Amino acid sequence: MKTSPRNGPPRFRHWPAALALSPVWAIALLLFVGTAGYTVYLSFTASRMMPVNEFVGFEHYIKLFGTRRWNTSLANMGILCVTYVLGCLVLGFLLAAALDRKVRFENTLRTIFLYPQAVSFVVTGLVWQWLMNPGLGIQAAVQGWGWESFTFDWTQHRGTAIYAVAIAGLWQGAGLTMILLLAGLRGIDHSLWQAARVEGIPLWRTYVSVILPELTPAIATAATLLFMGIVRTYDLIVAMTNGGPGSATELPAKFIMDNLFDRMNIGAATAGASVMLISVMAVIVPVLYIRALRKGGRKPV
Amino acid sequence: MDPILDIRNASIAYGQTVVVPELDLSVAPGEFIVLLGPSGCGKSTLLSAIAGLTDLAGGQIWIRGQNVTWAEPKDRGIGMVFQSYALYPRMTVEQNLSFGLKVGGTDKATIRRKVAETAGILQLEPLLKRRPADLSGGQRQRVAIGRALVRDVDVFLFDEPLSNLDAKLRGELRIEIKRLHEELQRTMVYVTHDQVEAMTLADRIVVMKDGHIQQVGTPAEVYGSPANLFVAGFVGSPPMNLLAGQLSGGELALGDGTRVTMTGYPLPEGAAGAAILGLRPEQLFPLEGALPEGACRLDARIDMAEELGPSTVLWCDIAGTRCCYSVPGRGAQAHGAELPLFFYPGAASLFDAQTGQRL
Amino acid sequence: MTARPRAARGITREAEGPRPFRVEPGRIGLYLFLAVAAAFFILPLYVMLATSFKSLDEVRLAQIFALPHTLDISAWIAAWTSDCEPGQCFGISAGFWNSVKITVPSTAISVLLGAFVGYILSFWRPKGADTLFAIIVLAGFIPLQVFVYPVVRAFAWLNLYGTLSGIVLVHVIFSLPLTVLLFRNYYAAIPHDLFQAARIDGAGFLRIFWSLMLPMTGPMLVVAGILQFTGIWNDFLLGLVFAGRENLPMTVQLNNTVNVTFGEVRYNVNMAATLLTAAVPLAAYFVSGRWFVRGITAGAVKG
Repeated sequence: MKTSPRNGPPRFRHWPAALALSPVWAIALLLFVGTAGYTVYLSFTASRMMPVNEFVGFEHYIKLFGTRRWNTSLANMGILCVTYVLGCLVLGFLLAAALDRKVRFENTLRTIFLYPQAVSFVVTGLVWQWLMNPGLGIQAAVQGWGWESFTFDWTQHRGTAIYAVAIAGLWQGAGLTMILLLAGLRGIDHSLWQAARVEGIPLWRTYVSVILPELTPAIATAATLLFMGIVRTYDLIVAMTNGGPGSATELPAKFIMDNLFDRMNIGAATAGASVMLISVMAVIVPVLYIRALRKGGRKPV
Repeated sequence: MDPILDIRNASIAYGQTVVVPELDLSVAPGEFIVLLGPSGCGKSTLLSAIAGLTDLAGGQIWIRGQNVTWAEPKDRGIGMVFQSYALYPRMTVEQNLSFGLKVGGTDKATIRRKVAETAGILQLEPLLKRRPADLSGGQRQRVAIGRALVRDVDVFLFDEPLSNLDAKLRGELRIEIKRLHEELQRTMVYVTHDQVEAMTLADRIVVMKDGHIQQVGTPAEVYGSPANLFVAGFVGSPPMNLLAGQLSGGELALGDGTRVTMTGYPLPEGAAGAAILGLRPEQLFPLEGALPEGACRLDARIDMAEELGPSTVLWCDIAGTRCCYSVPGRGAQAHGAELPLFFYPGAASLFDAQTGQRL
Repeated sequence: MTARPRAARGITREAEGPRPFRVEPGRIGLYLFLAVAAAFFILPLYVMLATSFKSLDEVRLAQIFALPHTLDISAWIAAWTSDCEPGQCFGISAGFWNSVKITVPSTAISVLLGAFVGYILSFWRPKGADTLFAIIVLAGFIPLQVFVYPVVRAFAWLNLYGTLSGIVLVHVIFSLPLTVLLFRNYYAAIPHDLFQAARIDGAGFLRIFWSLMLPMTGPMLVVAGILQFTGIWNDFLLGLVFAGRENLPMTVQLNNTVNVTFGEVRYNVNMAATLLTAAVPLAAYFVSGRWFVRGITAGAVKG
């Protein structure tokens, strides 16, 4: 009989635990695995208004990648990956490094940098929509101060609107990155700093050559998190630009929701969702796997 | 000889809390100085001030005839080996050794030569391409020392480098540091709370408590003639036996009435009053036959024996105080046995019971 | 050994005591950067607050950075009681109470369930426990868009779609990955010997959880509670899809109210409504401070 190495007694004695866990199994298998599977299944059927069982192969996928709106949303995701993820990492690192330099009011500043994390994306979207409204927001105010030629109307133009979204996202997401990197910085052996100082390494060089490499795991965690954030970004867009102007700020998450509930195109929506599922798995499974390997037998953090 | 490191009237404070009040210490070139004391005695703070990582509140620090009190650590001619070694984790051993020079703008050929030289001295050649994570504790220590060595520093500072290690490794690395010091003949200032490390490594030990220097002396002096009760109790394991008594006319009356004549002890003129007799465990001998000349007799009742292999520590009761003495080999005695012992007062220690200072 | 000349800064014969105080340019730059960053983060909150106290005439001046001339709270009253949606005429207060009705039970149930499942997965580890944990964690990374349509169908079939219990159940289910992860990791740090000792003393499955583990879980209950509360309060997608017209949470109602495209936009009322929506999680954040930070760093592992 196989016995658990940790608990000693054979596992069949754990029947109350197994019983208690069965509803969780049901949720996991039916609502997580099952629904995801059904979504993938639907993407191969001729479903439009209502789900049907007629099999059409990759038709929806071929159509999907011929849809301008979908391709725009993918391109926008790419733009946000560069601007938003990189922006959050850079700003978050600078904030964390600054707060780590024994500054006054550290707690107050940290509270200020992090509070956007506590508000809804809807709130963030609405606030920045107003701030970037050229007639009423920052542009109007600065022009009112006498700088007549000042323009800040990114949300109004197809080419710039997605960058406006990135700024709003940066406002909300930089604090989280800061907190993660600050925790990483605080975990670094203090004598590393002293050793560098004794050797006369300039501060910037210490950061680049010694500290940043030490932060790699924290940076990787933050980057993964930020990327996941973009993939699921829906409410921010709805509240801030509603995908506009035109479809300039569409994102896959919104594309799928629109096709599911407004446009009644289940085939396109489920095909998009399946693409999303595969790309997320492609990122996350290796990340989790590497993390599990690195940790070896150690307990997860 | 001019001191290579001279600490003049230095005091260190954190905010309003004075950690080290006015302190003076001179270190001769090539000397191995150990700062010894319990945690919180200010020894690490003092080391950090010598390195320039902590500001002085007052006083000066001179290194090789230069006042470095306000100088940056890198300009002081010091190298530091940290408790955690603080090797740059993502750099190879070679990069660890050369990083400081590279940043300092030394030309490549010189860097290569110096790294090769250092690696030769410390036998690091086979490890140059490895990273700190792939090194053993002893190898890490050598790299940490090497990092100071390439920079050609005058004074090596060690901050409890062995305290994170297990007992066996600690013993091995202690010997390695000692060998290195003998080879390099550099000045080393070494902080520890472990009196065995201090005894085995030091040319001179500086015993500290509450920021004050208690005694400066060779290991033999500190061990054999502790300057006060604190040093007597802190240095030595098992600790020094301390017997309280009344001193009058060169004679000490112990608690149970035993009288001990302090023949051969350099008693100051007119010393009298409450005093404490200090005897190292190996300064007590079992008395067989007649009392040797210049010796003094004490009666002991055996309590317990600890066999350590090469020697045996016997715990006993002398004049109502729990004491111990050691005999070579196996020396088990029956529990409760009454046994006469003797010691030479000339080699013993005597302290004033009030001030704790050596008489 | 020969003395090498060292002409370095700070080596002067008369140096004594602490290094002389110098204002370093780097330090000034540091504080300057922090001040600019703080301004960037505070700005939106400030603009919302200032605008919400302005009258509509003052809003039209388009001076968003200016302080209001008078403290006019009529916008706040309008937002709370009578801001009109097309066809319906009630303020954000309805959404507020809906959000309370959704968030409180969802938080309580999901935290307790997470603790219970985490307890089983950490200590009892019945057959397949690791597989189950892997499925749950992985599900946490997958965007809701992948699950949402089949779940809608299933809930409609179960007559749960558009009901209060339906939206609570949805929140509990989709919170499971986060709460289970938090509690499993928390319990993993508790010595297994303690659990073994309790078993040897004859304590059973439920007793160990209720009398031994749950009382030790205090800090994590608070952390997970705050995290879940703010997360569920701020939810938009699930509320929009599952809550139904009667139970729309505050975030959805806010967006519907504010993003109307006709009529004159009453910005002061909109800002007041937005602030009211943000107020509850913000209060939780400012009051709980470090707990909130602990929650998001612990939750960050999952995302």
